[in-house]
Amino acid sequence: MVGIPRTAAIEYPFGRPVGQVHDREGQRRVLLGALEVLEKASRPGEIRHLPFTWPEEPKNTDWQPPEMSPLIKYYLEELKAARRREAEQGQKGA
Amino acid sequence: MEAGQKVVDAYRFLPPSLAAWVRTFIGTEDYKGQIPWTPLPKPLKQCTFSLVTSSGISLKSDPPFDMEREKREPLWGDRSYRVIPRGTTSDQIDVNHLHINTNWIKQDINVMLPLQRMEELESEGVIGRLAPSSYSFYGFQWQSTEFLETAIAPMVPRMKGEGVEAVLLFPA
Repeated sequence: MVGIPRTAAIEYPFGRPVGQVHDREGQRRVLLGALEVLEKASRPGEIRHLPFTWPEEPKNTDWQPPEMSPLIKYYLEELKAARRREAEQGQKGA
Repeated sequence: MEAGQKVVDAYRFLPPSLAAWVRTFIGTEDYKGQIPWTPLPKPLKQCTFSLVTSSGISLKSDPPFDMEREKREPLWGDRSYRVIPRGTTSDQIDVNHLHINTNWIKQDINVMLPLQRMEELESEGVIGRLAPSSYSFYGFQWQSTEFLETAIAPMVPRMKGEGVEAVLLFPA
């Protein structure tokens, strides 16, 4: 395993890290932000957070595949168990 | 640009159970291992760039990434790669990925692999040059590093041959 030299973190949905379809100006701003990280990052592993906000609520972004992925089907019970554990820990912590 | 104000929530778009599961194997501490580092050799406006994406984009004229085997073997992901030439447009690509909605990329390749945007920055003199070749592989590689040999390593001599000095990675 190796770390990532420089990261431009962005809070955009999976599958559209550069921006919305046909949004030339928005895509350009993201790309310029990423290039600025490349230019200014000064140490290995540096993470810079880009300031952009996706205009839709997560549930409206339609980023998920039309069919549940084979991996998720395979591990579905483990996913549910992980969520139950977090809920239980949350209650203990409250 | 005022970067540094916003703190990205990497889990924002994940459904709760998937987020909880991912948190079980993503550590909360900073990575302490080895991190490669090559200083940027010169200003952006003099650098030659290539792009790499993990989103399963392929040219319609090339074989698609193999989704059928993954459907039979849920822990297997295609370990090959494709060259995506500069100038490639959305109507020339196929996208295969079982973990995202691929329709957005098919409508506009630039949401994932911004070839046209890089060409514009090249013509404006913001970057030096976009190399003839960019690259695509299939990012679902579950507990396997074999793809590093079969998909990533072969990109390197081609990049060197095209004088690439900086690479932007676009994870799906």
